[in-house]
Amino acid sequence: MKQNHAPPAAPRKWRRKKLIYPYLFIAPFYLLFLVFQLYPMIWSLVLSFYKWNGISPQTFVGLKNYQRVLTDQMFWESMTNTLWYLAANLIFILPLSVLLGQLLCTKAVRARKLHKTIQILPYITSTAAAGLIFSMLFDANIGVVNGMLGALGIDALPWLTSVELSKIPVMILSIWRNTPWYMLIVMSAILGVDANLHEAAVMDGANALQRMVRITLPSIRSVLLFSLINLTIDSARIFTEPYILTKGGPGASSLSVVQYLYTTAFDSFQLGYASTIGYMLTLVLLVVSIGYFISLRRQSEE
Amino acid sequence: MKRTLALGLACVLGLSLLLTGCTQDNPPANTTPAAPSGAPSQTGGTDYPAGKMTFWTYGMPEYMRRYFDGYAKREGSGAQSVEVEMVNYSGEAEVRQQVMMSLTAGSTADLPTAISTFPVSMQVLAENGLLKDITDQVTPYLDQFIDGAFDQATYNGRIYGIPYALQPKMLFYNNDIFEEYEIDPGRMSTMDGYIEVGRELLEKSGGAVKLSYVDPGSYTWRYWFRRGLMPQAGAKIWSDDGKSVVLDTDPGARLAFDTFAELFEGGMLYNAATFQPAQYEAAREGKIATFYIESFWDSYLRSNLADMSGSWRSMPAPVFEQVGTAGAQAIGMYCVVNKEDDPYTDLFVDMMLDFNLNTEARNSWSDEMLAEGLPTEHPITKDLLADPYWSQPSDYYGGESYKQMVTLSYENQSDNLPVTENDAEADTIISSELEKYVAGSQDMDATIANIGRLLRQNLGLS
Repeated sequence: MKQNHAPPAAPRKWRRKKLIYPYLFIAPFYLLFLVFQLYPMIWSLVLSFYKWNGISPQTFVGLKNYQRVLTDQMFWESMTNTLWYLAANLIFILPLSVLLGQLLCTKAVRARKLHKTIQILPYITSTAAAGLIFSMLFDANIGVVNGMLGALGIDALPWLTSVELSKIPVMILSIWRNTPWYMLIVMSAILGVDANLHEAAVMDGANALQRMVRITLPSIRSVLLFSLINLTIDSARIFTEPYILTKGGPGASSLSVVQYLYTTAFDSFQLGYASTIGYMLTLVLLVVSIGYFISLRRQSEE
Repeated sequence: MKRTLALGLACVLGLSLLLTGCTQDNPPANTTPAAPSGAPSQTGGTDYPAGKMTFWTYGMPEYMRRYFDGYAKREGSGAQSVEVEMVNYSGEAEVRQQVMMSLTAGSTADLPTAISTFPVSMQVLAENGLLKDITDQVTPYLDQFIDGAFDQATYNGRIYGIPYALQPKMLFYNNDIFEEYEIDPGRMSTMDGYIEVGRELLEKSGGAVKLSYVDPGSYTWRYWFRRGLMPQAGAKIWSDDGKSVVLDTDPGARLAFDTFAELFEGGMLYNAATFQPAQYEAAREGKIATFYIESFWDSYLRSNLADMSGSWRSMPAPVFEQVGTAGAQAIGMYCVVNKEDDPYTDLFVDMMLDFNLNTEARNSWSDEMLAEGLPTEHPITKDLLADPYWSQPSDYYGGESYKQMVTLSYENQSDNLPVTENDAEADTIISSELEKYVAGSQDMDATIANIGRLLRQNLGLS
């Protein structure tokens, strides 16, 4: 006797519920996204065509804010500074992360847990607190850095008060703060690399550097690219480090774009123009991100 | 399926727009009106309802809160059930930010009874109907205040703020240094004399003692220029109608900038961030002989250089002989927020008038503050200034009367620079160029030229 094992047709209502549940689960995200991200983004885009001090009625100025930003010396100075910070972070943070991550994955290193804990400390330290400590370290008159230079017979340097040097402490603070986070990401990727590959390479006589270059780095390539994109976006949004250390000065020599945006909005109270600055930064980040994604796609196709 | 998804997203979008939209654009005057409680019982009215009277302020508000608490508890104030809350922000700009945020969010009910602000923000807020016009309440008492006390609290002929402090530009000097090098501090009554003293100190100390300080950041513009050399040199940033920039062509501004350049390039200024340990340490070590700054510096000296009690003295700030007046005074004022349903508006005005006019309470409060090494404010009303208490000598100033020096400084102040809607941005531009000068990356001529060019370019002025 032939039996029908097919389950009884679920009621239509139940099927519809089943379809709705996943959307209900992701709805909170979309709700928050719409209220706290999409809506402000659209509002600030609209605002970038207005002159507004936050209190008086808004005045439509068309493209004037965009014309102004193109000739705004302080904006371009802050953009250049931001690119310097970005370059310094990319040059130092990723290589340091790989190096430290690899070291912490090496069995030869003793007390690895202790090292991991110590190395993560800069990341869990508040940037504001670290900034205050760095401002004391780099103080021209009573700073430890100049004290050490003095012990070596080198004249004290105006780290925080010179147009030429003011970006250096900001870069050092940013690198010191952010390296541990990327080190953790890279370290977890390194731990995921197939150990058999390394064992085979050892048997073939490959040294540590060769194994690193030929096995580890290619294996964690996608994680490195992910870190690169994240680090680029994080670096472009740098704010706290220059704000605490130098207030962006002297002049605008260490001012970042986001800091300039903040100053324009909340010190000069030009909210329309500040929105324009925000959109200019978004545009730059969009171009860079698209470049990265194209590169990522090409690599995955290869 | 697609229809359900579209419907769901539309609902979410609609809800989000409803959530954000419904909180907007409610002007403060449209909030639900409630009958004000009336005048305090001191004047024969009713008691104020129990609740919290909030101030948004900056600086060190706790010390004034003590006075207000004392007032509320006083018999007959009608405010025994009122709690005074002082919400402290990092500065005037942040107070304005908070007001702006509350307005944008439509939560005008969250606005406080009063805010502490500067003239530039006061004008914007007053123009948009956010501050209460208190002209009628305050006018009967104007004669009791020193001349010009309400100038910066007045906009378009109406009064929007009550000052609690007018801090004049003064000169604080380390008397030990002047005795050691046998220099008469009286020579510093003029700017020429001040510079001569600076040169002599450098020469006699072998370069170890600097005349004064320079801040590598924005305080140089604020303390040396905006309320210092600029007003006392009769300088201008804007033309009289405020529509064009004159700073780079104005002879007064040139005098102010050249004087500062003479001090700075002559090596007479110790470079250290103001209010920071390095500057106090330099003062303690005798590397900074004087501070050309507003009278509030007294509280910073007493709290940060308490161990130097007896060393410091004060005097009115030096003047340009050709002009004759010292720097301009910094105003500390509270403005009443225009909320029709706020039951504490009248209480606030009474409280502020009491702070300015009640000699007994004010002197008692000041004693309490000084005994604890806390800041106090010099009075700005004639009766209080005439009271012997405000001429008493001070141990910290080696037995000289700092209070008397503040009173003396009131008599010779310059008018503040006129304030326009562009001043907030102008401060950022000017300060940034001055910082470059102090950092040594441009000379004073280039600094002045850049300021003029950037002000015109960024503000779209001629």
